[in-house]
Order: sequence, then structure tokens, then C-alpha cells
Amino acid sequence: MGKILLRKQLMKKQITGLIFVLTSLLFQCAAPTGLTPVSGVEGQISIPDSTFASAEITAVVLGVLDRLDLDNIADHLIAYSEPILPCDVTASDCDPLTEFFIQLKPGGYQIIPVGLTIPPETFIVKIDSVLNAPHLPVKLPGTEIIDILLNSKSILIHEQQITKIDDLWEIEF
Amino acid sequence: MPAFSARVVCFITVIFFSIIGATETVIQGRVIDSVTNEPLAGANILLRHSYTGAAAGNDGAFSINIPVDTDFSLIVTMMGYKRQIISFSGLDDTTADFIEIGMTADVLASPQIIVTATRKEQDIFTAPVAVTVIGPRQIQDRAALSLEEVLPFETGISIVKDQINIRGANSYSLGAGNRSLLLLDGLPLLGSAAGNITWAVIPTSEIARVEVIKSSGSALYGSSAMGGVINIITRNTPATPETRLQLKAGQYSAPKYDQWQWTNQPNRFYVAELSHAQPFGQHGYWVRLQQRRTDGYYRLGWKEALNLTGKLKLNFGSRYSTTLFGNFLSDQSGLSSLWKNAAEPFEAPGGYENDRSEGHKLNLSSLFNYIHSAATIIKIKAALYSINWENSGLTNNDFSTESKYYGEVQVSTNWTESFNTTVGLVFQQAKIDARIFGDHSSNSSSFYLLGQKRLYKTVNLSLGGRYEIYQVDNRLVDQTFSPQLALNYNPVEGFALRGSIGHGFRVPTIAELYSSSQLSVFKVIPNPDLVAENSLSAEIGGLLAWQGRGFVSGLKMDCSLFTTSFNQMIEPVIFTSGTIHFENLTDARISGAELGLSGAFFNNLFQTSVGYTWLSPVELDSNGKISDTLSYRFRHSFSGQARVNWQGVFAGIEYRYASRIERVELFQEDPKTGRDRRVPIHLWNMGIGYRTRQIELQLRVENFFQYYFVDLERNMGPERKVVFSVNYIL
Repeated sequence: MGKILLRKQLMKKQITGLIFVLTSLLFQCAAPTGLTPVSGVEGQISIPDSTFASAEITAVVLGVLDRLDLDNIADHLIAYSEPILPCDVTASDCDPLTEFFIQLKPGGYQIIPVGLTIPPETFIVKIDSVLNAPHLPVKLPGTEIIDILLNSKSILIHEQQITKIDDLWEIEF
Repeated sequence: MPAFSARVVCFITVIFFSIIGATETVIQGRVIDSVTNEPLAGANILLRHSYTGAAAGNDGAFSINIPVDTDFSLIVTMMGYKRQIISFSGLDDTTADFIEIGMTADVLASPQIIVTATRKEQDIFTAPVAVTVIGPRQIQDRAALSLEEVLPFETGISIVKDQINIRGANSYSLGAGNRSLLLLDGLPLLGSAAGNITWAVIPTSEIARVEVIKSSGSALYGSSAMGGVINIITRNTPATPETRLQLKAGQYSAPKYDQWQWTNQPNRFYVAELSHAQPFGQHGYWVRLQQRRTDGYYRLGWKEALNLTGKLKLNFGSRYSTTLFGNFLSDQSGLSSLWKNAAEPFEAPGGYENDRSEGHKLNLSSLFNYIHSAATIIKIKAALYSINWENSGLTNNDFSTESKYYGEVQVSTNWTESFNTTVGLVFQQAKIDARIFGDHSSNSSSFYLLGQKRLYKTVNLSLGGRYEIYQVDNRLVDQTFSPQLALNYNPVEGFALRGSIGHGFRVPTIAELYSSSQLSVFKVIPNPDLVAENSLSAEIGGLLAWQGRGFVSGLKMDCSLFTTSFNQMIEPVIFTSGTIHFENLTDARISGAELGLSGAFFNNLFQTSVGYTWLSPVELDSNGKISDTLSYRFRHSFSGQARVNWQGVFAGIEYRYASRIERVELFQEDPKTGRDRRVPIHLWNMGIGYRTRQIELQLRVENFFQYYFVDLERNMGPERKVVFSVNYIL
């Protein structure tokens, strides 16, 4: 009887030890945080549907540059938005006002609207070769630097914060 | 279809008229728990090397027909108990012996008798290939709402957005193809058009066990089984009437980060079901009605479904039995393929908030068992699986109406004590009318043969294959013979080594051939020129189990080394034109290793198991050199579980790790912005409960630490949820 009690006590100690080891392991392994909130910029952009046909562009993307150097856009392109398509390509009740979000790391950036002259899916899939091409298959909003500056935005991004562009951003190519 | 029916009827008639009698006598007995002496109702008693069997009644009593004047053995099995083999010397036809069989509890719980590896009942230690068996206790312990919550905790199995992957055989194929075959009671349960799995159709609470064959099953099961087979065996009617009420309800946590809040409402879910099982005479049935509803953990994650399932088993004497199974599901859900953006990962893209899908699934099947003699059993199976769904949304108004008819005749014969064969004929026909795939039909006919020979009492040799002809729209897509050779060395009880080599194949699904849709800016376009993919798989492995007492009550180890070479592998490919279509890649190879360990300690008070899988999934160029990693595969995956049971109180903890997916197809990681970042998976689940014979209460928390990950691009993995479950037997 005494032996059985002793054995039960020993088992309890072993189980307690095991639970302690497992709990420690649990909190060690649980340390990774996984995905966390991102930083970036969001807002709304308005592109009249007639712009696509008149400027002969297939879609518009918002390009994010770390420096506004219009002679070397490709070298300074950090990110770009999802392509904004003309209404006849998307739904029938298309709204010219389109929401956008671009994920970015903290820092200062310049956003400029860029009209694509190639299919948007090709632009995404072949982005590396597109950026290395001698002539980018894109159109900018205007030919003068002042037009481009008027159509672009300067933004500052902070850690895990979304910078909002609240004013209505209308683009004409 | 008339020609198909005529062939089946003709075959059945031939079989019926070939009935021959045999000289038999009856042995009676009782099965009891060796410690408590309580009768074990439902224990199975099988005459070894034959198909004659019986089930113990309420008082543990049974009677079984045995041949006269021969030596024989009875195999007695019961869930949660160690298998017993009892040998007798010849009895004459006037003897009516009575035996009492004491069963010892099996601390490692999972069932030992399987049916999927060779299409006939066999001990898991004689299986020629790696098999994982999940018992009902493992499912109940997790208070699982769906089987897909349980499977990823098994060694070598992962799920990416509803799509199952055994040892890396599948990638994520946009839901349009599947290399792993799902069976329900031995009959296929994959969609006709896409080969997809509807998890809600599976009656999770009525599962007796799930058998997972991890290597190619094409030699017995044909196309779709090249990456393994999952066979869900539903329970038979218990020996006593039983009415069961089950309620699982809970809530998803709000996102851990304020930036990700997407609703002010609590996101709740419930599954309520009522089931009744009733034996009558030699027969029995169970029927289950289930209603489920979830708000989901993301905007379009809501789902609701009503499910009615029933199974009727009719036993006509000791030789004939028929099982009829029916399952009807009416479901609707939000329709989502991508999140809004990384800043709002639980929100639907703008304008898509009301996208939804609704449909019906009907699964009817029948199995007729005829024990022709102690040495021969004939099984005739027929099934219908019908799927209808319709989407309504901003840009997605697809619909599909699919029906699949299945017929099979299987004859298994034990020619001698050491040699048996299984042969079968299978016919399948599918009709699909869908906006996304078009209007198509497919037919397949196949013949399979498997011979098993025991050599030197310790070695089991299996040799077999399947010949299959597959047509789409009456056009021959493929005809293939898939052979398999396997050896099993089982020198002592509790230890086995196995090795196998086999050919696998899979014909492209209708969805892979003809899908035409839009995914984000990408256009999915048809590729009717796809041809069948082929594979050559090899595996060696070992299984060891040891039963002890006291500190170490039991140990089990299963390890495998495996490799599969794919030829003309079908994968979704994005072309530089921005279109996606399914393509026959030149070659691919998936090699790996797997180790599973489980143990019970302190007289079964504490149970634990761990499993690790390493994969090397590579794409090969035309010279056989590695050109890339295959997409959507986890190179390392690990799962561990620990559980304490004490006087009806139980508590468990589970952990799952999967390494970061190295390659995806649609949205690549961008280190400059942090966009589309992928991370490994670390998931912790915990639960505590109390169980008596009549009631079980359980509280569980899944994804305890609210770890966030994506396994498919731009789709957030499950949020933390708290589940309370009550299982009450009235």
C-alpha cells in the first residue's frame, strides 16, 4: 500500500515536471508574432472614363517613387498600386472614383499617376523587363514638369500607420 | 448510360447464379473487457483468412459460422482495444462451442484494422504502404466542426484553402484539380468538374475512422489517387438505440490589432445536430440532422448549411448485407478569393461585399455485400453525387450543375491461407453544365487486380494494377495501366517494415481543361490540349508498436522515406501575357521523409504524439536538373499533441508548425515594401473537458496566441476562436 502511494506521489511529481517543461516550451515557441499591421498610403482617385480612350492607355497605376526624377522613373520606382481599369473592362455600374492602397515601408515618397500603354496583366507579370526597357510603356499626366507635379502627391509614411490622402484626387492625362 | 447499366446488371446476374454452398457449424461466445468483465457490445469477430464475421450484441454475445473439421482462428477487434487472435483445432459439425474472449485496452487508441490499402480488411502491420488512421476519439477530442480542422495535425498532411495535400503531391490549383482521392465508405466524393472536396458534406460526428493512404493509390483507385487516398468510414448502427444531441457554439476573437478591426459585431458560430440510431432485428440505421451557421472571421467568411444524412444497414442472414447511404446538403456562403488589401486583411474588396454562393449537394450510395463462401466475398457498389451551385456577385455569376454516377463490382478471394486476390470493375460517368467550364461529359471504365501472397510466414508480397480508359466529350483523353509492387515484412507482432513502388496517373479535370474566368487582373483561360500526368512513386518505411505498463504504457513509431517523380505534371502557370492556364510542366520530383511518434505514459494518464515531415518539392528541366521549387508546398512541417486524462477530466494541447511557403504563383513578396510577406505557421490549440458515458462537455481555444499568417496569397489564416461543445446521449 505504502509502495503504491509512493509511486503515485512520484508520478504526480513527474507529471508536474512534464507539464512545466511543456508550458515553458509552449511560451518559447509561441514567441513568433506572424503578420502584423502594415504601413502605407490610401485614398481615392478619380479618373474620368474618357481619359483611357483619349490618352490611349489601358489602365492607370499609382507609381511610388523614392525621389522625383522624371528621367529615371524606373530606378526610383518603389511600388505601384493595383491597376485601375476603365469601366468597360470591369463592372457595368463602374464608379470613376476608385479606392487605392499601396503598402510601403516608413519614409518619404512621391506618388505619381502613370498610364499604361500595355495590358495591365503584362505590366505586372513582366515588371522587371518593363522597367529595364529603354522606353517605359507608360504615359505621364502632362508633358511639363508642372503638370506632373500638380497631379502627384508627396507623402510621409510612419511605422504600422496608414497615411490617408483625404482630398479628392482627380487625374487628367 | 443504358449500356453502362446493362453491363453492370449482366455482371451482377452472373455473380448471383454462381452461388455454391459450404459445410459449416456454429461457434458461440462472449466478448468482455478483461479488467472490468463488462460485455463489449459492437466488438467485431472475423474468421481469419475468410470474410465470415459477426458483431457482438449488447451482452457481448456473438455466434459465427465456421467450416467443420479444419483448424481456424478468430480475429477479435474493438475500437480502443488490442486485437485478439484465438486459434482452434478442427471442430465437427455437431459441436457448439462457447468461448469467452477478454479484450485488453489499447492505449494508443487508433484502430488497427484498415480496409483502404488493399480494398479488404487487414491489420495495419501487414499494410504494404504508409497508412495513417484517425479514430473517432481524435476527432471528438478536438470538438472539430469539420474534418479539415483535424487532418493538418496528422503527419504529412496539410490543407491550403480547403485543398488537401498529402506529402506535397498537391499544390494550390485554384480549386481546379486534386491529386488526392476522397472516399466516403469506399466511394468517391470528389466534384465531377474540378475534383474538389466539399468538406461540409462529410458527416464528421458519424465517422468511425479515417484512413489515409499516403502513397500513390492509382493501382487500386485510379486517377485522382496518385497523391494518396483518404477514406472516411462512417459508423455502423450501435447495438443499442441511441439518440444524441450535439451542440458546438463559439465566437471568433476580434483581431489583435486595432488597425484590422472590421466589424463591431461579435462573430459567432454554431453547429447543432440531432442524431438517432436504431437497431431492429438484424438490421439497423442512423439518421442525423445538422444545422450550422458561422459569421466567419472575415467579411465574406459567413456560411450556413442544413445537412440531412442517414445510413441503413440490412443484414439478410450471415451472407448478405446491404448498406444504403444518403446525404443532402443545402448551403450558402460568402464568396471571396482575395482580401481587400494588407491594411484591411479581413475586409472584402470594394464592391464585392455582397458576393455570395449557394447550392445543393446530394450523395446517394449503396453497397451490397455477398459472402459467397468463407473464401470469397463479392461487393457491388453504386453511387450518385450531384452538385449544383450558383454564384451571385459583382463580377462572378457563374453556375454549375454536375452529376457523377459510379458503379463497381469487386470480388475478393482467399485462394489459400497465404494467397488472396481482389479484382474489380469500375464505371464512372459525369455530366457538367457550367458557365465557367462549359457543357461537358466524361466517362471512365477500369479494371483492377491485386494479388497478395504471404511468403515464409513473415513477408507479404502485393502485386497489382489498374487499367483505366478515360474519355471527355467522347474523346479519348488517356488509357493507362498503373502497376504497383509492395513488400511487407512482419516478423513479430508490433513490428513491420514495408517497401513499395508504383505508377500513378491523373487525367486533367474538366476545370483544368476548360476553366475560363477572371482572378484579379489575371485571366484564366482554357487549355484543352492538356494530357494526363504520370508519376512513379517509391517508399520504404517501418512501423513499431510496443505495449507496456506503468510509466510507459505504450509507444508507437512510424517512419518513411519516399520519392515521387512526376512526368507532365499539371500545374497552374502564369504566362508573361498575364494569363493563367493549366500546363503540363516538363517534370517534377517530390522526395521526403516522415517520422511519427506517439506514446502513452503513467497508465494511460498522459498521452503524447509528434510528427515531422520534410519535403523537397522541385521542378526539373528537360535535362533532369532542378530548375525551381514547386509552389504552395511546406518544406518542413511538425505537429505535436499532449493530453491528460484523469477520471473523466481531460485536457489537451496541440501545436502545428509549417515552414514558410517558398514559392507562390500569383503575388510575389516584395522586400522593398514588405508587400505579400509570407511567414511560417505556428498554431497552438488548447482544450479542457469532462466526459461521462452520457455527456461530454468541452471548452477549446484554437489559435490561442492569435498568430496571423497567409498560406494562400492575400487570404488571412484563421483567427482565434473559442468553442464550447456539449455532446449528450439521451
